[in-house]
Amino acid sequence: MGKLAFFQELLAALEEQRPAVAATVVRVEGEVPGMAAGDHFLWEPGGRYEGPGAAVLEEALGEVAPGVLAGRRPRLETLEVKGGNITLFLEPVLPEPRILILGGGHIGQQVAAAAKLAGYRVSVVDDRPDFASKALFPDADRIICAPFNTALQELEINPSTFIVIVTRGHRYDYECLRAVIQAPAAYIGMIGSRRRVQGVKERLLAEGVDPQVLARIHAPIGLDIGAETPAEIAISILAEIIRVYRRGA
Amino acid sequence: MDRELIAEVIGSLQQGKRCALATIIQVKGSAPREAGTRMLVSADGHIHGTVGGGCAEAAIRQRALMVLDRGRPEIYHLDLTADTAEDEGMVCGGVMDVFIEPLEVIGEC
Repeated sequence: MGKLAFFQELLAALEEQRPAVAATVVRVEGEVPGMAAGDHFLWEPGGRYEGPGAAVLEEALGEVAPGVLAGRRPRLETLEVKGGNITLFLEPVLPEPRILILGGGHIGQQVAAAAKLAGYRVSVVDDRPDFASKALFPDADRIICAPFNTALQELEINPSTFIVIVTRGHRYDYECLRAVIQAPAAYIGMIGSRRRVQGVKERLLAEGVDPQVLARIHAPIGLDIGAETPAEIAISILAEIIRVYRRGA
Repeated sequence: MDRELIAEVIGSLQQGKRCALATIIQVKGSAPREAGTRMLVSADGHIHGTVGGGCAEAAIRQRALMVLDRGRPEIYHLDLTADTAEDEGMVCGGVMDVFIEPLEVIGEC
């Protein structure tokens, strides 16, 4: 694969959130036909390969690439192939975390700023045009002005989505939580005092929501660091999200 | 993976700008950035992205310009534990392997 074609495919995989493994040949020992340091290949589950060296790589990558994806970390791998050894630098291409902020108020704005600082993609939903605005969210990747339920029906929620429920009132918080509670999100957090959160949970329980599903909800939201201002609360929320993202808990 | 940097690489390749791509492929001990971190070095010495800044980054940038001249990729071994490194203030104390490849438009690519 030519360098330009490789980087274009890599970018497409990153943007379309397709899992893949980027392989760079960093060393070749012996005579391996069609294989030189600086060659790049993009491995995708079930993909097909063309060009010189493809057959060799297809077999070799098929064995190690799934492990790289599962391990989520780049690694060097020296493989014995016909004619010699090749050393590959293998990097997992994983969907990037996206933080979905429901509510464009003071806390939502600070969560967006903190999330961008940490390098996450940010989407914001609010039903009020004054709040779902570029002026308040200059760095957000997506701003959606629509009723929460409507927006949530259309937005894709996947295992890379982190949902932060910080609307202007607990009636909307409840609506949002109910809309996303069965979604395969990486994280769902909801703001509110213990008492309010308890009220919302009891209501959902009474509606027949599985207690185990409810136990997944991070509410009250954020790590308990005594945060008081919107910015402090945003940092405690991001800290919790980072912990879930990096440690899975 | 840094999408902005990948986009920058694509832009350079499309415009036929001479540059070299440095990728940290292995880190032992303590180093400023982890494996997979990339930096793009233009022929005029401009850099995009960072491999941690400081002396290590300056050394990688210098080496990338050399790779660009030679036109051959290489693995650059950077020892941040050596005495000289300490003298120059590279305090992280680890060992880093950096793959540096020229991104020149030759024929197809």
